[in-house]
Amino acid sequence: MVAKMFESIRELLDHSPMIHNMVKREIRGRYKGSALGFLWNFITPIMQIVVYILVFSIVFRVDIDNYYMYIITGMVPWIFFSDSLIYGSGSIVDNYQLVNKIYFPRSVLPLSVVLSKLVNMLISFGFTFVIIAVTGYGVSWTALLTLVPATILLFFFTMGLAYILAGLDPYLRDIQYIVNVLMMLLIWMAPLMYTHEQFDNQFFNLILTLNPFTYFCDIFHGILYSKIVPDLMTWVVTSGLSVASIVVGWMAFNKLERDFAEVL
Amino acid sequence: MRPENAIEVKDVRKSFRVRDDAMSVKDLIVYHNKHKKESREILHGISFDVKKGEAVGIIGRNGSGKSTTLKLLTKILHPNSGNVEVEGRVSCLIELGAGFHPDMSGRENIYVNASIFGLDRKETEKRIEDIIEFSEIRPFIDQRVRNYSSGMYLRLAFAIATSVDADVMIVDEILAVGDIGFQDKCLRRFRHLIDNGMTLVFVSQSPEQVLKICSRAIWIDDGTIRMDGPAETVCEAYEQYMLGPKEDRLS
Repeated sequence: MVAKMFESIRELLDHSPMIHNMVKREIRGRYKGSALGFLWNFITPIMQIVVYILVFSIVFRVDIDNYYMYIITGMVPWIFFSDSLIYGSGSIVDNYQLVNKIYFPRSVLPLSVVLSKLVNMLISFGFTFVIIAVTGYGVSWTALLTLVPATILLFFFTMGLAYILAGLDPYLRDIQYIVNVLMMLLIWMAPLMYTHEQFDNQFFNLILTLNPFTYFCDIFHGILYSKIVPDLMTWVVTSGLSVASIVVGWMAFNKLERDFAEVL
Repeated sequence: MRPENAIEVKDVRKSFRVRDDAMSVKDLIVYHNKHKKESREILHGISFDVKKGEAVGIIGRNGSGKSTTLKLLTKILHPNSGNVEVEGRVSCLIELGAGFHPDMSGRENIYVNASIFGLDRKETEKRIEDIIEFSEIRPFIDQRVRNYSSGMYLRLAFAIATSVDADVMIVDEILAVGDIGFQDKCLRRFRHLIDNGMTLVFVSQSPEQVLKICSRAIWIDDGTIRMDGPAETVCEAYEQYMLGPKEDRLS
């Protein structure tokens, strides 16, 4: 069982040239043929962030210091998370012509989607630092060091979920639509537009506690917005979630992939 | 697995679930998906070995289980019972242009396609000139493959699949879309690769093509092996069965 798991990981790594190409294809190919091309990877999320900043600071007059930074530092990881799951969950079905006709480790497909979204997130962090520099918001260098482990934890957490969803999708095509709806809901169930302190409602606090993304949101807000090293508890919880997600996701995917070609 | 063998297939059975359409909520709730478990067996226990460097043709009428057999060899499908073992790097040509991205150029698609077979960028760069040369589509290589004809797809796909230094190559009946000149070129390429030690499994509707490159043929009929032996004998029996006695045929 364990030996089989390592064997499948080794096979995946053997296909790194393919992963490399699929990531490129995901980033450039998705918008190929459109005039703005590759830029569409950023136009949509930037507009989304701008709209939230405007709506909440002008229309709802949210009273959070440097609200724009609060939104940006939470939304960048959120967009990585939700895009990875929305596109990742469909990665097997979308590539049915490949899955049906050529053998390669199927785990390449969800991984390539999530990696491509990771590249987008890293570029978005680049933009964020430009904004930080221009506005003089500043950073804490010690806190910034923890951005690397935070990103790695978020990556594995997201990857595991993407594997489960992508593995189920060929059997139950509703998965892709369910994920879409779920993401619309979840965005309001994490402290992305508001802070923990703003609400004193037990039921709502329970939802926030139960939503795993809350902890990742807290980590990124801590590092970039509050400029502090997140507390130990948050690290423990997110590490636990990441490990559980990737282990369960990988095992589930390896079980589910056997019959892909039959149901596609 | 015996050392002289490249492929071993033992008592393989394969069935597919018969389903009208995808699962729906009604099926899940009302029927608990009960009567959807019906399945139809496509392969009723087939066994054969292929030796390293051997070229085997697989013939049989439409729907006899040839393509299912090929997909089992390439690990795209898994048998319900029995065992399939294939040794070495496998290259396959099962359907035209599998894995081509229509909006990318022919050249970009060469890199992507070769990487699916496990080649890295450097290895592909070493071969890319040969691939373009063999495919004879150099003037179009930097155009989007969306605009390619099916013959051009075949040329590119064939050139890539035969350039990856495979130990075993598995080919479904796709050569038919190439013009006779290119088909002949393909057969000669196969011949050359086999002479250099590659193992080939070749499905074709054309006994003539099988005879040109395969020393041995397997006739699959209705999910079982009906005949396995020297290509001439098997092809003749197959033609006899499908077309009737030689003197009655359209000349």
